[in-house]
Amino acid sequence: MRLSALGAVLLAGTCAAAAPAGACTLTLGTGGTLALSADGSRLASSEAGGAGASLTIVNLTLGAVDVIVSPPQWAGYPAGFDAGGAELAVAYAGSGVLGAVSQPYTTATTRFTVPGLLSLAALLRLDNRISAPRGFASGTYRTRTVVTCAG
Amino acid sequence: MRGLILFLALALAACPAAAQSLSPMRDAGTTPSAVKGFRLTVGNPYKTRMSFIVTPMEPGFAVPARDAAVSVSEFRLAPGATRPVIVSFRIDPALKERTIAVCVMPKQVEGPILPRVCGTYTGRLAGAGG
Repeated sequence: MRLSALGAVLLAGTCAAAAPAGACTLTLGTGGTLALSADGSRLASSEAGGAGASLTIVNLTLGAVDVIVSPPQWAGYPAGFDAGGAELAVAYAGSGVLGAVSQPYTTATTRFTVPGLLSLAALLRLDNRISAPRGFASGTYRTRTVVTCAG
Repeated sequence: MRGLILFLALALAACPAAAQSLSPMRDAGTTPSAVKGFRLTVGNPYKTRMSFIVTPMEPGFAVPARDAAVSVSEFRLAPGATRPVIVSFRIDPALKERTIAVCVMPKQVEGPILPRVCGTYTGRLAGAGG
């Protein structure tokens, strides 16, 4: 049983992001790729060969906003896989003015604050991880994390 | 299973696959009736035509709000376009005040992140004090 495929290296978008005044804008940058750990017990974008997803945050409100990161949920997995025995986790790290934002893998909802009138976009790199001690069936696995800019 | 590579290829766009903005993010006001409305602006500041869903939610952004409605809850926006939406919600006279959230998200999004922008809006009954 063998499944091989190529994961694409994803580049951040450079499209203009002219957010209206008073608005919070979230923009998906790159997608992500999960890769299998050496011991076969984890699929994670932080494993060798994987790639994290990215998100750009622009807050042009007068006050700070919270960015809430929910734990990943299943978006798809192959038949025969014991999803109930797996654990989904998310990790993220900011850059630029969000350089102090760093969240190791967690299964809980977490949040951080983005200052107001942030004229420069703040980039967030996000990793997802699936831990399955009993291993993975062949197929495609998808997770989804809800990221909310909350005023 | 050696050499097995399981992977997840997600959104592969060089330009944003999904983005949205909401303004204002917070507001408050009084109403002489039991219903309060707010006019919000949803924007698509990027170069791709996109569909959005606007949903009234309870504070906490997890549960859809009861007794609340959005004038246009689903629409498409051209690149760079904005459009107003009206959210209205009923305020229990016994409570005199109510806060709801309004969340905007892309209708269809590929990839591991579902981006939402949620604002919070408080209505107060006129003459209720405070």
